[in-house]
Amino acid sequence: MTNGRPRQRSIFIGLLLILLGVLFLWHNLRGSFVIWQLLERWWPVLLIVWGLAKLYDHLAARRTGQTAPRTITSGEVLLVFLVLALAGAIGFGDWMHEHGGRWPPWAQSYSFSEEVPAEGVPLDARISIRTDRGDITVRPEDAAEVRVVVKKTVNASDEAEAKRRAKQVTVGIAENAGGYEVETHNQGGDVRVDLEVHLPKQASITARSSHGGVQLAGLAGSVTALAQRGDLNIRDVGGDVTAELERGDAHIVGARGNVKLSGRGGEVEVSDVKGEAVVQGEYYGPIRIAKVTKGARFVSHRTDLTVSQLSGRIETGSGRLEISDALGNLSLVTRKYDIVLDNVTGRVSIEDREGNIELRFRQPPGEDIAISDEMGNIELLLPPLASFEVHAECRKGDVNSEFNDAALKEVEERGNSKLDGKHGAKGPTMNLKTSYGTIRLRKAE
Amino acid sequence: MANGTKCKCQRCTICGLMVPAVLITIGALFLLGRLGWGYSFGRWWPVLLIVIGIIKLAEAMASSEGHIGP
Repeated sequence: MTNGRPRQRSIFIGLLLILLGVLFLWHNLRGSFVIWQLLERWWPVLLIVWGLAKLYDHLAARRTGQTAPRTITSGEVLLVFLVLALAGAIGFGDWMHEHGGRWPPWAQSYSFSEEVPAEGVPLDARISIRTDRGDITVRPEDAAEVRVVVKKTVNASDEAEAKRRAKQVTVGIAENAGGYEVETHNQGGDVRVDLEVHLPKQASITARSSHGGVQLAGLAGSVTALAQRGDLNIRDVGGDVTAELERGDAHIVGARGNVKLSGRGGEVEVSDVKGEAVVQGEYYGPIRIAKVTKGARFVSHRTDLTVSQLSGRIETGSGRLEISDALGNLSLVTRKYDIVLDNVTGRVSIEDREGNIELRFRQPPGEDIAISDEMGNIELLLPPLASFEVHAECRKGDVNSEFNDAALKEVEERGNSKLDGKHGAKGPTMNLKTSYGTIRLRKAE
Repeated sequence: MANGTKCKCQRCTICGLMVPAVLITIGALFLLGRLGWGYSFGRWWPVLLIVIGIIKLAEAMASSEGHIGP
């Protein structure tokens, strides 16, 4: 024994290794999140864990009467660098993978094309298509058969190796429970299989790609599409469209049935829908929903929007939510969005926080309006001939009205303003409420 | 660090487990890979980090009562 008891060891290294192990394992198994994005958001947690570990060390040392471990040991510094390097390497590998690059750098990319012989199917068959990595393109045709053009892409150090690995992967058409399946078999992570499926126009399909997109145009049946890490591009569908996105953009244009999109991703475009359109999930945007006959709904963790009839469009992006030409009722609950409504004729109900709200009416409002905001302005642009009953209340702010009627009473006390009364003949009721902002009623020219 | 010396304290005992545990984990991971149930070392290697982490943690939390040596 040299100097009494040895220094206590820090628990931080152990904690960090476990945390990273779990993180990398999750990355490898789920494969659906980018490690950099996670680090970008959560890195302060590492500091907290570090602090807590040090606190624990200190208390433990005091309890046993030992010297606490040094604040930063060279081992810890080394470990942190190692971890950063590892995360960087994995992030780079992901990035290469994502962008179709070759990894490792000395590998070459080889492509092989083949065709799966046509198989006769009923015209209105249910067909499911699946590839683990690669794009699915659906080509509706008039023939009563399924035919698949397969393109395999392998990254390998030489052609023989590439051929061998490509050969292991097979694509087959099989009948299953009244439907047909176009499936890839033995597809490892490193063989990309793009499928171009020719099938009858009347068919209904389910297409899944775990690392790729789905493209389709002109199918008369209904479509279920699942694209993880790829784009969805679906046009002119005769039936319903149910789509799930994991990352990437979705364009669904033209559907005679209902459209439902859920998941996560970037850009979203849903338009020309004869049925109902529901967009659910978290998207960076911009999001555009237009021309939906039976009403549109957009639900995210921040927003819940329902429009009962949309001849115009809903557009969101960078803190702004615009809705124009909605002939039905509208209900919206959200926060931190600046909201602009242009030509909405039905009943309107809006709840917002920390955003400005602007309503422009092309014709006198015919239905009740209820707006409640916090820390934002409310502005209504009304035709001069509009008639309405208004109850406006602004905590710590002003109410301004360009409609000056004897029947409109404005009260201000201790920084809170109110406007109550009627304008014109009998009209709908407008309840407007906000705080720390201004409520304006303006006359449109 | 306890290699060769005869320290019997808890911490040195756990410390001595590190090498065998790492070897066993690597062996098991590769073996499972060879048996081929659609399983690969490339995916499961972080298990190794977790194992090392657990042992490091246990080591730091163990008592070093009766420690012999530097």
